[in-house]
Amino acid sequence: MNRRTALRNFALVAGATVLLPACSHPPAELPASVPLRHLAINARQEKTFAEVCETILPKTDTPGAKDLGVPQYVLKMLDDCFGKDEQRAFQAGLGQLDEAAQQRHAQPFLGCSPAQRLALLQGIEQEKGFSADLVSFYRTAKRLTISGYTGSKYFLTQQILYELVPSRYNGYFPIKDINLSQSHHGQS
Amino acid sequence: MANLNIDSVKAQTYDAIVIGSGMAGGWAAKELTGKGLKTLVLERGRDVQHLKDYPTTNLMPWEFPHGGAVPFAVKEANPVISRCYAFREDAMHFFVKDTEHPYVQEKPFDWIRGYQVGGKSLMWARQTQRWSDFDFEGPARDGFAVDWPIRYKDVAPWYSYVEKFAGISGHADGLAELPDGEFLPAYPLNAVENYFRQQVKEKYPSRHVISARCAHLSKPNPVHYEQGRVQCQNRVLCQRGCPFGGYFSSNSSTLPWAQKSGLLTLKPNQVVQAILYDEQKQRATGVRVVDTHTKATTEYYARIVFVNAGALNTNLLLLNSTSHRFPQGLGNDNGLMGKFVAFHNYSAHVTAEYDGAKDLTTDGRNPAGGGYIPRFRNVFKQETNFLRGYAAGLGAHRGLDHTEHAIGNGFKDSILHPKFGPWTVGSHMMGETIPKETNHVRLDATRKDEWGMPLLNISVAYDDNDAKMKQDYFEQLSEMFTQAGFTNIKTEDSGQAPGLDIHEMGGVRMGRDPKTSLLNEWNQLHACPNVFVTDGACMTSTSTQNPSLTYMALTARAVDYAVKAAARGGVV
Repeated sequence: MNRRTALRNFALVAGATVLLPACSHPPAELPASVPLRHLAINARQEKTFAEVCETILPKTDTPGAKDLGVPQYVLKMLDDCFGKDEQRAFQAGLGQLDEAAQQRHAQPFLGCSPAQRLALLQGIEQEKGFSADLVSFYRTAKRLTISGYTGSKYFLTQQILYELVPSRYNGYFPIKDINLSQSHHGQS
Repeated sequence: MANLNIDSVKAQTYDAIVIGSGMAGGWAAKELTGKGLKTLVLERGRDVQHLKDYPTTNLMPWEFPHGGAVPFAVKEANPVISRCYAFREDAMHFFVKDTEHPYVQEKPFDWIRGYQVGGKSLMWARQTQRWSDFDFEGPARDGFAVDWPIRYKDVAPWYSYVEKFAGISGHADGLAELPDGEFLPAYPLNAVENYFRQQVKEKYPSRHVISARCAHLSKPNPVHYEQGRVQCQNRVLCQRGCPFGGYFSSNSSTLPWAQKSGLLTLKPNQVVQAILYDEQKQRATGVRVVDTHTKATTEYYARIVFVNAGALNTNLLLLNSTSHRFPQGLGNDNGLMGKFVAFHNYSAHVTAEYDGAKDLTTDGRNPAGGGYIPRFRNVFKQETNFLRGYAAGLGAHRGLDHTEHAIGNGFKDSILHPKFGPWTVGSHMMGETIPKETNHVRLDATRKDEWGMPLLNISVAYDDNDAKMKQDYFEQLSEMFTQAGFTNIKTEDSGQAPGLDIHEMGGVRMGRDPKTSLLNEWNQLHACPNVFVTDGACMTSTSTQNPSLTYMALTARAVDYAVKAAARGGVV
């Protein structure tokens, strides 16, 4: 499955969830919407993970991680391109996230407010009293969320322009002339 | 029946056969057909046609399912090729997977191969430097291997010849140790590379930082347009195959040129098992091939055979070409074939940061990759506790910095509107290794592949000289970086096995004496002079230059000799 198919599937699933009451969360026994061969992630964990990605790169006046299908991309990358040890640590860390949220905010991650989610992940970022698996999960999630976001079509066409055919090289480009969203923008 | 056989032999007969279609084979094909010879090129891999067979060439980054990464299952099943820097999602279809073509590693050796029309010329790093007499005279001066039977003056006109056609960008730097060529305009050094160049010039008068010389059309000439190639567009996606023909490859340049002559027959999917030797005629008469799909064997015949299978596969093929006259392999009377294999030591890097040139960055991309530091150790005389020396690549890059906020709105803003971090500077070592008898390849005694070829057993390792040289590289580059005011200087030993440099050479070395070498000064087997070896297998020593340009020049030179000798009714 390529990224486009992932996005299309995501759109279908997103459409389907409109029918559900706003406050409900997918039950744990349903599988994730992304076809996974190695990771054992259920629908509820997938939704939790999507909110982790969204907390790292939230929607503002520009799209957030969820808008760009980043959570699906990250799960696909983990499933296809990572080894068993990393997959295990990721899964274990994701599994411990709700427990950590319960301890600090008295509810699962999905029940937390955006501010509570941010505070929790910032704590993990600083590795303050969290398990190795949870820290490892967070680091992997953050790294892949960034690469998913900055590798997306949106980012590379609307934000920092990717040029397939630059046709030039300037080794002395003044930073004051930079406009990253246009051609001749000062990036290699 | 007799007539039928004669007809079939005639139909299978060419003036010349070229084994392999990569860097050297492509040049052999172009030169042989250019001199009017009906030429058969046999390639063991599939066909790859310029433009038509570059499936990823115009894909955008987001169109790759894994953002460029190789799936774990592929990496796990193919650990050797997965260590190659260019084995990524966009070009993995051009590399041989470990599982497809096994070999035996008596010692760890990463054998990186490209089995297709064009061979590794499709994915090469395109760096091109001439040798000088400081390189050709190395073995004689320093007492290793055997003396090269040629000197710079023998190859210089052929360097010029191939450079004009291939298109080499570079600057005439006037250095005795790295002769100038027929250059298209050089790609410029950037602000920090140039700053470093100036610093080195002031503080180390005998050391130089120059623009990397590379096989890119910075400003094409009519001969390049005639090949259907146009100016390099700075995509730097070369490993995918270039729709502009902006860099030199067999696929974009020599093979289509040979095709235009009407004299080329190119047969992909043909593994040459052996070169046939006729005891009465005392010469090679042709080759026996097996079709990779049907497994049917066929023989083809010719007066001249060029062996350009890629350094180690050329060794394999010659060792497997046994006869009553040559029980140890074709031309291997002295038993030295497969021995004295060498490579380049690419296992060391030095990186740093520079806190200046803050108002500048780069725009667009540099296909040359940056700068090049020619060998400065032991050039004019022996001066260290190790033999020979190293060249170094040099590149500076202005990175982005979004570390101010960990996550959330501020972090996102720093990704959308990044600030510039310090310049980062990187260097990699390209060290000469000394050919030794113990570093060798041989036919595996028992195991064969599915096309009936013995597996190649590779026994090649670093030595004490390599370790001392690497230490010196770390010290010297660190010192030069310090002198230039760079900070956060780090040395890194990759610990990689030989082979990953993709510059394996030797085993069928050139020399003057048939007792101590396999090839003469024209790349002919001493003992079977209508067989020419002009790929990496012929290299007597390795020096530090990226070797492809020298293979091209030696090939064109050998073809010229072969055709002239044949016209005179000479040895071929």
